[in-house]
Amino acid sequence: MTTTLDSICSSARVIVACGTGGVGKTSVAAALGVHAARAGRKVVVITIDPARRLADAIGLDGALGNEPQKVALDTSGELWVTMLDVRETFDNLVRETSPTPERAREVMENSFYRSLSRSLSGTRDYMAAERLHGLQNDSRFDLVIVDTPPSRNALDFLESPERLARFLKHPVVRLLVAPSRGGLRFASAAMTPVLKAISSVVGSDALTGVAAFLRAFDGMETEFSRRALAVAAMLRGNDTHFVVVTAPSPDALKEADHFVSELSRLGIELRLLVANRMPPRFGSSSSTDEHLRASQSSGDEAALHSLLASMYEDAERAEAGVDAFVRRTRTTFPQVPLASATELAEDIHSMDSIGVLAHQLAVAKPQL
Amino acid sequence: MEPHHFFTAQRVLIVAGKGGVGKSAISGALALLSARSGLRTLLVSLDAETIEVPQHELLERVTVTPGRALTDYLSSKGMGLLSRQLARSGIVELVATTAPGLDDLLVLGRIKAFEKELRADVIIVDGPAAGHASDLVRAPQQLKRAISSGPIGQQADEVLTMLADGARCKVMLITTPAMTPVAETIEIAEDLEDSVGIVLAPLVVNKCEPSVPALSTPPNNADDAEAYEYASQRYAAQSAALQVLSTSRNEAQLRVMRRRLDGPELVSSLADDLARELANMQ
Repeated sequence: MTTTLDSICSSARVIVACGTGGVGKTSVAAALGVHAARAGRKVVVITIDPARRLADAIGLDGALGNEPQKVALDTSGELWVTMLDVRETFDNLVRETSPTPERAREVMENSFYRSLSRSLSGTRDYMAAERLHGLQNDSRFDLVIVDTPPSRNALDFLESPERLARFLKHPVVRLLVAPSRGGLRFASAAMTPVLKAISSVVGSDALTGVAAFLRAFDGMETEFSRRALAVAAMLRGNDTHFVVVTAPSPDALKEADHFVSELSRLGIELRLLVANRMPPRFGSSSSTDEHLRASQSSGDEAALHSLLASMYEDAERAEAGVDAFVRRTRTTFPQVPLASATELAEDIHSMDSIGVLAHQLAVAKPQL
Repeated sequence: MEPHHFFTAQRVLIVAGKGGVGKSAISGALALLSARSGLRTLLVSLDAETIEVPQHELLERVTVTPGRALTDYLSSKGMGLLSRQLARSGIVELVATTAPGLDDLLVLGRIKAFEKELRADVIIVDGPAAGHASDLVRAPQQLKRAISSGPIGQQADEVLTMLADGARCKVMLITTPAMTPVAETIEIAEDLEDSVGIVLAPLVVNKCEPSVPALSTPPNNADDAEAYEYASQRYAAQSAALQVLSTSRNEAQLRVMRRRLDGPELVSSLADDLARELANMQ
């Protein structure tokens, strides 16, 4: 029987998993990878900020960076994993877009470039997009699964290529590059008021560094912008499927709502909702049944049924919360399917537990 | 320990923890508890999205964002006109890009200004997600390397002095009792101490589950037995995670139970729980 997960994992070329921290997004991304590999696809999962234990579970060790590593799996397809190395990705990009090796070296030795490529926020978003583009054009893989950063602004990376292109075209940036005001004279009285103002805040050293960077970079921004546009087009293409991952807690659902509205704002179709870490049910009993049993018994039996009552109350609350979330989401994306998985008894700590998660997600669910 | 005593041990308490651990709710509960113990309290949020906290006459809330911090900073230096120009031309983003980490520094600088001007007896900062907590407190140091002179260099110095002084500022890490968040908390705790010389406050372990009752005979219904086995395994995993935390970190732990509440009711009940835990603390 073909399930929602099968159709997504067989048709997509890129899957982007979004969700807030603590919902198990990296595990879900890995589980989707396992499912697709079982169906014979050659999958690479790129994670931005994996938890150490999970990294161990999927075979990413501390030494791993940009170079994908193959996970040992008994499937017809392949599963590879990679972790974003911002600095290395940026360096490669500079090397590839630079007209000469000397120019590339000049850029990479610049103090501003070094702090830019180390800083995590905006650069990381852009490099994630750039890396995604690189992997998508890598003939070793036919499906790239992206585990986005665990922040509220995770979708910023979708717009980061355009933002960088905009930055490079900013009039003040052009002013810094302009040869007539270039060189060391730039910190002199010839500066325009706006540059003087910025300089008074950040200090003239910093601005001189930026100017030197931008001059070394000059001419390369055309290629940068071209790639930025290619990434943006790919992310909005039909082969890229977006998945929102959530847990049933009220704060996680609130964040999931935010991702749904962001996707809608960006004009991107949502293909799948994943409700992860659902409290499990055992049998058909309910919290009402268990409360009743607890009140009619004593000793061990009463203690047991009170425990079960509390567990099933959690399950009922979780299901009600997710139901309401799915209904809200379907006012924007009417057809979006839901896949769910329970909180496992033990923390995810091996490929086996990711396999269990993949199996749970793959089970066809009746539509709500 | 009396809450009053606990909260006056430093003037600024930066609360940090990964997504899903309940950082904003704990920050709100700490601020409420501080106000309830008679201290003028300022709850600083770094994000417009925060939890609703019950009203208290001694409790004031403020949101600090990088953009606002920059314009406030410029105004305080007599550059109000400039700050309006910058805001209008979209240069704020450019300035922040020019000096990565500047936005973090400006936020910390604003908090330092609150502390200096004695805006409150206690300042609770609903901080960034833990991964970002290291970036936030490391920003002044990194920025010092790029910008040694000028007002930013000076600002970085002042913030670094505050961060390294445990009598002025501490960081409180929030975790949940599971292996992955505990491992990350340990990593971040070491990182914060080593890189910036931060002094850590007691740890908060949020969303603890009650123990599973021991049964003299296993449940006879198969579903019930499976459910009981699941609950027992979850509880054992929680105990193992707490064991790892206690072995690795010397800080006292404030353990609070998971609540099926949301919003102000959650914050209020967490404040009660934290007060109880503090009372048991040496």
